[in-house]
Amino acid sequence: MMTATLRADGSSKFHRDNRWGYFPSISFGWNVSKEEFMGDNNQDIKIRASYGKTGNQEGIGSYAYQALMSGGQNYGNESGISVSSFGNEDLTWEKADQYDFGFDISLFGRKLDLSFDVYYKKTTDLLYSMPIHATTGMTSITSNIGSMENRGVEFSASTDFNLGSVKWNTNFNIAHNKNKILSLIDNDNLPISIGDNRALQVGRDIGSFYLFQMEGLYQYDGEVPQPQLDLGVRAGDVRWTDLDGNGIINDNDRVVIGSSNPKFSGGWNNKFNYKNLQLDVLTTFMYGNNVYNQSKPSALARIGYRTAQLEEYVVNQWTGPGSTNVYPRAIAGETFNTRNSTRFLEDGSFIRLRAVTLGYHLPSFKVKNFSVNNIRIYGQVDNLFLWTKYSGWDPEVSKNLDPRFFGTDWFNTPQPRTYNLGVNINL
Amino acid sequence: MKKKLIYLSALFGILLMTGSCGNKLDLYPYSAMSPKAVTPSDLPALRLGMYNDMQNDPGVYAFILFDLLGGDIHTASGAPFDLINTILSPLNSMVGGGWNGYYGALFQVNNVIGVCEDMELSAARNRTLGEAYYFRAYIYYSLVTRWGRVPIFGKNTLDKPFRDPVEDVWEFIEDDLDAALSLLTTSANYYYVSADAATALKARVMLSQGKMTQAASLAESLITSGKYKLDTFEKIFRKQANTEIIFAFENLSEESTNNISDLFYSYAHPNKGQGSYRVSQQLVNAYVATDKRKDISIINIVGTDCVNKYPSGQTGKDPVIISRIAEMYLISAEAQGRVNGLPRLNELRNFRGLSFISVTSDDQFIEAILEERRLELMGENFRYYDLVRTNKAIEKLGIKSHQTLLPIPGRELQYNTNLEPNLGY
Repeated sequence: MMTATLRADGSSKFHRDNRWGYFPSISFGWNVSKEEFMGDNNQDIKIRASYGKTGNQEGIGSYAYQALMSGGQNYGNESGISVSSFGNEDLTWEKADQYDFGFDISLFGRKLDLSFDVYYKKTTDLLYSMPIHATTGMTSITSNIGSMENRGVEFSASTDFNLGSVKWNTNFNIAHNKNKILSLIDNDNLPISIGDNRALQVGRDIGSFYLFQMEGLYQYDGEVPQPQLDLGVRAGDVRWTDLDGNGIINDNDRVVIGSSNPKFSGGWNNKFNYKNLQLDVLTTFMYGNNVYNQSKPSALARIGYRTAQLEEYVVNQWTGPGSTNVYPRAIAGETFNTRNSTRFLEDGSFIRLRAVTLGYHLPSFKVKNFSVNNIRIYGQVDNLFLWTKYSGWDPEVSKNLDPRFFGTDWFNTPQPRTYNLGVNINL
Repeated sequence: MKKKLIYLSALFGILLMTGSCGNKLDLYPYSAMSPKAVTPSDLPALRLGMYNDMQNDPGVYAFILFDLLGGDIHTASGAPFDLINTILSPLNSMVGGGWNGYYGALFQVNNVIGVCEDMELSAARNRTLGEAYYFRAYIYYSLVTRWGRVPIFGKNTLDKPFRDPVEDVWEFIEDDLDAALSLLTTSANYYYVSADAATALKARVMLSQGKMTQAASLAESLITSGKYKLDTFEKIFRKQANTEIIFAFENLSEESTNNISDLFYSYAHPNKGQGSYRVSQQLVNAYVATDKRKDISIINIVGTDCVNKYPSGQTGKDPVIISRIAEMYLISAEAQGRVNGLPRLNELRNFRGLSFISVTSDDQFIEAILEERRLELMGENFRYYDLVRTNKAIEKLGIKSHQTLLPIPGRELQYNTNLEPNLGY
């Protein structure tokens, strides 16, 4: 089987010279098991491969390429106009080339299904409001900023076996994706701070954190560099990595570290049927992602501040040389120790018992002329259990779903645990 | 044959698509226009847009920064010195916002200059061009007194510039002011730029460079022109008709983002304000009892001394004065030196209700000038640079030598690696 398509899209958001994008796609499929050389079999083997190019023009203004002068710039109660955007005639489609390869195998009379996919997606001419040097007159310009790639593997397996009189259905899937920024603006590859403790940098993934790095605590005043001592830093305060070695801790000392993207994630669903009884257990998991616990520097770990504190930070606080290398001293009003830093960057890996459902089907019966086909009684618990090392309430919540900013816990409401009891009646 | 047909029809399809809707996709907004489409009839709107950008782009702090850095203003929780140290950081928003704002305004001014230069000569074109040169000089004066060496642009560019020598910046400012003076005449009122405004700014520019003879003669030309006379603070700072102001931004509430008063008045004042900044006790004490400026300069609101030159609080916005005749008296006095300049200083003091003074040394004279500027021009964006240009900032403010310049903003250093930071930051 082969399918090929070509589409051409034009957009008024781009200058007429860069307006048209051509997006071909092609895919192949081969059902190996139907071939003659496989003979008669009850297996199912399919191989697929595809390539597709797609275009994106979302997230930019309707007249993005045009330099514009806008009104409302008034003076002395008279109307004025001035340049509101300098446009970018080079602006064009954001393009993505995606290659997929995969196969599906069914074995043992379709009792075991396996599916495997690998993909590579390269996105070029990323549309972004690119920050620029302010001597141009503007601080950002809508631009095709750079390129990035995503490569990944997906695997799923499902089975349909009977264990004696128990029917067992299982479905397991796991996925791995690696994102990497390939090119950005020309700035000697320094991290581009995008706010909210995040930065973009070539070679790193979108979702990387940009934080100060904690090395330990100063145990004696004599260890504190003079510029910090002048600002009131003393023994018991955090020793931050001083990247430029100038003795001063400022925003230039932040490092690009960690990521809110997991190394892999997936789910596992199990169904058990025994006579009229049915049990469903769904588990989800994620591994290798970081969560930034913003509630700690803002309040919970800020000992000496007026908000409630976590006992861990109060009880273990530094009280003298050698007492601890982890928990700083209590000091009112200071923010030196609670810089947004690796102190509060945590492992957000988890396994969650997403849903457990137990149901029972009553046999059909008749009441006089009235027939009841099916009554199902069930109990369900959502979010029954969570295994994680994350110290906050829930590693899965985030105040922002944008991939650049995902994975920051701002004391967000955790996911509830819900209990349901129900009856389904079919007449 | 069949394949060929398919290719042909596909090609034809593509041509049809690009050809037929190509023009339909040339869409333009109704509420805005292209800068290239500006015609002579748009010039009045372009001109007023430039005034708006000059007034608003640099941000409210640009108009009081030299007061906040001047050692007489502090926040509720710290001393003046702490405020100076807080502001003088590459990451401080007043520093970054000022840089972005001045260059943002420069972009608009250069755009206006470009448009005017392509137009045929006319009174309207000359006036607008003269105003634009004045504004560009004012922007560069603001830049060079804050950051020292700054990139100079006579035309807008996306290039990543290097910093230009300080002497070149001053020369650029003088050239622009001369160009402005050759084009400007009188203005409708002091909320618009006149030739006198350019003269007043040039006097300041000359004084800043130590070109005393020119500074004195420029200042004297305005004092003796008969068009301006010293006037009372009650008129100058309460939006009454006065003979003092040479140029001010009108800063109408609905057209402006600069609420200076809100930063100074506390919430206990009837007009309300967030009261971010207070006046130090030393400055309050520096006004003697007979000083007619004191009540309009400082107000005590329930125990807190606040700047009183901007009276609207949260009820509106007040004009921002750029040049007034009293500054010319002080420039003339300082530039003429102790022997010839003292009469102008005493003339001003006398008008403000103070006694004549006599001085015995040049140093004493400079001290007297600086003190008079401190009291006369408080809240009008002078103090810090007055101390810097007379080499007294380190001693009087207790700052380090590198703090006589602002740091180049961290953001700008990040996006333009051709810029060097100011040493020490």
